[in-house]
Amino acid sequence: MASNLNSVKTNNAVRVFLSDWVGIISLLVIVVIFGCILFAPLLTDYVEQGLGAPGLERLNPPSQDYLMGTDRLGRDLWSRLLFGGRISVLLAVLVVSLALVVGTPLGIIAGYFGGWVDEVIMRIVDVFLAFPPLLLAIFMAAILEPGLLNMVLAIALGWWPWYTRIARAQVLSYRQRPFVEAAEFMGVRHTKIMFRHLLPFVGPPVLIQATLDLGSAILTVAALSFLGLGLPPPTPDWGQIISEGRVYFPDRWWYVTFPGLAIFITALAFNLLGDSIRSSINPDKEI
Amino acid sequence: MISELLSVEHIDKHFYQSHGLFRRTKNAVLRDVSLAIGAGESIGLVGESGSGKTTLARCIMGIMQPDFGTINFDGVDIALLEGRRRQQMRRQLAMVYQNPYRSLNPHFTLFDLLAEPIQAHENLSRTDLTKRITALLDQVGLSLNLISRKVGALSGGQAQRIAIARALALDPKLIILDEPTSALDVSVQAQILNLLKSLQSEAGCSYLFITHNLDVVRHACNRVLVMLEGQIVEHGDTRQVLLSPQHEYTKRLIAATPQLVVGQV
Amino acid sequence: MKDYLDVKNLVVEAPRKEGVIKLVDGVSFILGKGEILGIVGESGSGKTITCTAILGLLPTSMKKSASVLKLEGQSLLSKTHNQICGNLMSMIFQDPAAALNPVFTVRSQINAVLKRHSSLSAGERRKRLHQLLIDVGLPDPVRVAASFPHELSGGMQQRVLIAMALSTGAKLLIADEPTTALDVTVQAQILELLSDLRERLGLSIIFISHDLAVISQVCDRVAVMLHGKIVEHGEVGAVLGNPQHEYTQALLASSLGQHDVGSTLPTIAASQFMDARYDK
Repeated sequence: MASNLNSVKTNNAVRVFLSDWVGIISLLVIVVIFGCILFAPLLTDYVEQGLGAPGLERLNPPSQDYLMGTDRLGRDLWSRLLFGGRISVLLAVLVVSLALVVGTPLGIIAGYFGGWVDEVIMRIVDVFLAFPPLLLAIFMAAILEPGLLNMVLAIALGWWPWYTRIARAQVLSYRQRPFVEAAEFMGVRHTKIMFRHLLPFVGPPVLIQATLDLGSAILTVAALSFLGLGLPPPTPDWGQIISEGRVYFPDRWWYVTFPGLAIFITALAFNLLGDSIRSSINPDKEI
Repeated sequence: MISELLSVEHIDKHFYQSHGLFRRTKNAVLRDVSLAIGAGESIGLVGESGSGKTTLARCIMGIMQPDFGTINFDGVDIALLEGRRRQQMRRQLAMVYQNPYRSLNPHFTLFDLLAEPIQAHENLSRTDLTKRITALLDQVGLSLNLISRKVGALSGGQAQRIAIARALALDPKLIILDEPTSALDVSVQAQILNLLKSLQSEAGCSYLFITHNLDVVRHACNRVLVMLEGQIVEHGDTRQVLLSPQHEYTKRLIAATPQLVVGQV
Repeated sequence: MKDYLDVKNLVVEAPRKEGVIKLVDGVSFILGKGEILGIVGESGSGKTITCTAILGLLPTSMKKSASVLKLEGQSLLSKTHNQICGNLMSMIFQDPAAALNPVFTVRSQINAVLKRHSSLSAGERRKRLHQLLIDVGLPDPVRVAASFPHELSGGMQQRVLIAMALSTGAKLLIADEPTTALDVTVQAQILELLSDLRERLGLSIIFISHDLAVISQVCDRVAVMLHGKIVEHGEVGAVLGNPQHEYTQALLASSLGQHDVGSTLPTIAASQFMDARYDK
């Protein structure tokens, strides 16, 4: 009689996660946010305003008609947040995805082959890590033409090395295991060893980092937009809205407060979710 | 006349240990080691930690290169093999490790584990592959029901059977077994040794057992080699060596092996 | 020999998906002073849990109970593991390297134990440390004390651990497969050391192993465990020479080393001794 160690591990992880109410609440918040963003047109009467069309009631405080007030061009703020959220979250997801997709395989390759391959990759990583990510993003965004892809690229440039490091560390710790040596001995191709044998071990820490990074990505995207380095208007992105609303603070407090809260809650939810997932996955134990 | 499958001739292997910037000591791990394995034989390589038996196994497998001497497998010097021919040699040689939970990827299903060596060398259709795998499971006495489970769900004995099935997948001529029963319960050890014996008569392969346990040699090997500090100090027919050991170290090993002290009436 | 350790009806329960199961199911035994008792069983027999339960080291999810659990007349049931471990008894394990902290020298690790379990001055501790290392047969105590664990061989590491266990002043040592990870010749030396310590210091030992031959070499009495119960116990010679229970007989029969060279071994069919605890 023996229990299936892998399914016991997963069951435990799920059970631990479910007992952590912070994690559950974060997950629910994220689901709600995604839902709102996805179904944006259904949640507001002012769809065109959300997309940029100016309205008549400028700088109105929150009221029954305008849930979160209006901005300087008379556009309903709630609608702007809904549609702006699409951009902010999309950008964040793209940034993290790009960093992950570029960084992880490099880390696996570096850890697997070692030697000069490892040296070269890690020195490149060191170069990129020498720059504070935000500064690098600002610099790149300033050089490149404004646009969605360029913005994603600018931010991802500072983030991919972290994934390389994480992936490499995992690969190094499993590289010497007998099952890897057995596969090498049997003549299995390098790519198969890296991606079928080692990738399942690399996956979990990378995904946790990605979840945490989504939170930071939201902040970074907002920061760039706030500084005017984001997407060209009228695309409403949360950071941009704050940038517009800055001069009206504190009289027209809603202009800055609501997008600020949106960024804060979203980033916080991703961070807490990532933490929660991390605590529910125990470190791999030696069998 | 036993035809020689594997012939190891006078190999030396040293490692260097650096002490500070300018000093280096040479550590002789293998010194003038020679051995031969014939087809269908079952050889035991006995030694304690530091004897060099693991290094010797790695040289035979081709993972390490000896500093001196030659290793011939099936008449060919393995140091000369490259690329294609090296792949071919890999088919003839298989390995079973001590701890099956560590030598089998815990994320793989049993099907994947057994398919891997086959897929690395042959291009079979799914049906043919399944047939081969079913036959392998049958050979080691495991039920087909287990095929989609992972190693973690198996007992120690079952897991080691999978490791053995994997070793048999490509019909190798020589299987090297590194302490195959040390991590198993006593009653299971007997089962595995019996299984290996019956498999040998079916498959006609040779075994090289690496172990520190003289009892395993007693039951599984027809010839035994005793290693101490990188050298082979005694070798011969198992029964002969165990009953009348010549070298001091062999005598010490036999004396140190706990014997069941069965009660007087 | 007076009853040094008295255990009656020890039960350890653990929660499982299927319900609560008894990992240890009514185990009773007595250990006399200066006696070496062997507990033999395969994985899942409950032999290690029995001892961790006695030491009070069970994980919080497991529950233990016993009608009697006394050491030298004092009940252990109400004591915490801090009160039991070290002071009254200590335990050594299979992998000595894993039990020693790699960043501290042998001296500092044993010293830490001495500080905790005795009120000796620094100078007295140094002398005691020296004596302990000699007691466990280490040839060069000064050098060993100054070494880090990885600089020592497996056998020496295990001796250091035995010294640490002795340094607490405990007179009962539980040894859980202490020689399984060691080379055969080193194993023989450690077994000899344990017998020697019993003679000289009057140490009482519980020796856990899956290897009948090792048990027969060093133990006075033996208890055979299967699925959480003791199925047979008695003087080592008697039990192994004339086993009464089926399982003991089967275990003996399938033990390597007693049959003719090259013979096929008798085995225990999995169906022979089914674990009833998991049948639901």
